[in-house]
This record gives sequence, structure tokens and C-alpha cells, in this order.
Amino acid sequence: MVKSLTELTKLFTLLIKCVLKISLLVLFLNESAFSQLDLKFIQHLSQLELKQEHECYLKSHVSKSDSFELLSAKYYLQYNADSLFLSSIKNCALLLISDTNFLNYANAYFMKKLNPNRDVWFNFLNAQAIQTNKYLELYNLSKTPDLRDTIRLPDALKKDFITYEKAFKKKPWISATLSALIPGLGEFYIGNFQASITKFLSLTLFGIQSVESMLLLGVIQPLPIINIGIFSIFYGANIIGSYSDTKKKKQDFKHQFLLHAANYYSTTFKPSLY
Amino acid sequence: MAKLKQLIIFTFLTMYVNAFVIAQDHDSSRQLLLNALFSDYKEVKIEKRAFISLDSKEKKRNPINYLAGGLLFMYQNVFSAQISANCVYETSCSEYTKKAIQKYGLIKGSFIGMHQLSCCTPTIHKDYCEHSISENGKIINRID
Repeated sequence: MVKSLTELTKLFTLLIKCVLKISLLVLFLNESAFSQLDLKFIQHLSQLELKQEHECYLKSHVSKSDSFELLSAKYYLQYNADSLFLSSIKNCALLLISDTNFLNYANAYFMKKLNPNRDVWFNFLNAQAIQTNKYLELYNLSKTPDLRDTIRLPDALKKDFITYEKAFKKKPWISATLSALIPGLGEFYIGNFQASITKFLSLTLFGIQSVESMLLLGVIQPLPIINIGIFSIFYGANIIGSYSDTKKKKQDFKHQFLLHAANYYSTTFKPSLY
Repeated sequence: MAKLKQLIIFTFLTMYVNAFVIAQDHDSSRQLLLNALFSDYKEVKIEKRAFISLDSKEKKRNPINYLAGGLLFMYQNVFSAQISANCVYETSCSEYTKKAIQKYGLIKGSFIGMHQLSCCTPTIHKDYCEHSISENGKIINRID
């Protein structure tokens, strides 16, 4: 009887020890997992651009909460890690939308970029169904520009929008056909006057020279063959070049419009990271 | 005979002394000249351009790709450095052609390269937007 009692007490003490140990462990883990990030300290690190310290501080926290993801996203954006930023925003979409200053900062940042990340960012915003955002509105206008939309734009951006709208209407295949008819005409159609003059003069003169050499020496001679070969390469380059230039011109004017728009709104909204 | 000996010795002696003096003078003057004129001179190393890299199997099989790549490689490493070619574009015409061939293949790539070559005039800046011109006044051209 006494033996069983001592065994019981031993078991009981062991149980209490185990419970105490587990509770201590849980308390410790809990503290490290849900400890609060010091926002002021992060702002300080961000202002002084202490990248490594900033990264270390964020990595020292195990938490995967919305606010932590947002702070990480801000860190990625500050140091131009676009793809990491775009992958991290999915976990903190609601918080991001409510943070207007940061939203404007990210909008201005991506509007100035000439790469596919810009489209990814604005598509993400469109998916979140944000109602009143000037940057998003402008981006959506630039997708299919229409002269009727110029009323909705401020005066400073109207000129860029009209030039972009004109360039948007130009068709690459028309430009290529015009270049095939008369060298340089396709470039003239899209507004590249310098290129059109250069191409017209150089190809016309080279064409005349090729024909002359052909008439003087005959067709099956080395010089006319070389001349005609080089002329045809440049003629083909003129057609393909005007086709690709039309596409490039559209992109350039779109980027210019968005760049000016981002600069214009960043002076009025004053976007900031924190 | 003795006079001849004297003359020979004298000529050798003058030649030796003269050569020594000229050499000394020449070196020192050259050094002075170099110090005065080229004190801030830094040697600009010309970068060696790489051979065209063909990524896909189809491009690797075509021998004409290697011929075009070889010609471009020779131009970039031999002729371009000799004629001190200066392009208005940020990516030079030969480099642009190389990249275009890498991306679009031989025919379309060389046509695109030729297009840039035919547009490469000093007044071509007027056809481009503000953002397309870099800080050093060159046109930013990328193969997207």
C-alpha cells in the first residue's frame, strides 16, 4: 500500500514537472512567435537605408501575420525587389489597400517601370476592385486610349495622352506596307521623320547605283550581284524595322504618358512608404 | 696610317659618347613630356566581346548562325576597336544585331540589326521620347 503511494507521488511529481516544462516552452515560443514589430525602429532603419539591419530585424521575427507581410513587402519595394514584393502582397492584400500612402507609393513606383511587373501590379489592384484611385484610373485609360477620356484628365497630362492616342491608332502592317511601297514612308506614317528621310535617301541612292551597275555590267556579274544583295537586305530591314518601330512607338508613348502621370500625382499625393 | 687609326678611334669615341648622350637626353625628355602631358591619362581597356550564345537546339544546328556570329565577333574584337566606332545608341549596332539574332533567329534578327544600322545617324534623337535618351545622351534600345 505504502509502495503504491510512493509510486503514485513519484508519478504525480513527474507529471507536474512535464506540465511545467511544456508550459514554459509554450510561453517562450508564444512570445517569440507573436512578439510585436517595432514600427518606429523599422521606419528609422528605412530612413537611414540600413538594408542589412532591416533585413535581419525582419528575419528575426517568426510571425506570418498580415502586418508582418506588409512590412516585408515595404522592405522589398524600398530595395527594388519587385518580384519578391509582388509575391508577398497576396498575403496582405486587405491591409495594403487600406494603407493609402503606401498604395500611392507603390502605384507611382510601378507606373515609372517599363517592364511586365507594372501590368502584374495593376492587374492585382484591378482584382481587388479599388474604387477611387487616380493611378489605377489612368492605367486603365492607357490600356485603350480614347480622345473622349481627355476630359477626365488634368491639363498637364492631356498633351501626352493625345500623342499616345494618335500613336495607338497606327497599325504596324500599314506601316510595313507603306515602307514596302516607298522606302521610309512607313517611318513617316508613324512620325519618325529623321529615320524616314535617312532611309528614303540611302535606299533610293543605293537602288539607283544597283540598277546602274546592272545595266552597265549585266546581271550575272559580281558587282551587280553584291549590290542587289545588299540593297535587298536593307530593303527588307526597312520593312521589318518600320513594323517593329510602330509597336515600339506605342509602348514609348504609353510609358511617357504614365511616367508624366506618376510624376504629376506624386507631387499632389506625396506618397510615402510608412 | 696613324692618322687613319686616330680618325677611326675618334669616330668610334664620338659615336659612343654621342649615342650615350642622345639616349640619356631622349629618355629624360620623353619622360618629362609624358609627365607633363599625360599625367591624368588613364588607359581605357577595350572590353572583349563574347561570341554569340545560341540557346535553342535548332539555332545550334544551323551552321550559318555560327558564320554570322563569327563575323560579328571578328568585327567587334578587331575592326570596331581599330576604327574607334561610336554609336548613337546605347547598345551598339553590332551588339544589338547579336542580341536580335539570339532572340529572333538569323533572318529576322539580322534584318532588325540592319534596320538600326540604317537609322544610326546623329539626328535620330529627334524621333525618340525623352525617357528613351540616357544621361550620357545615347538612345536606350533594348531587345524586349
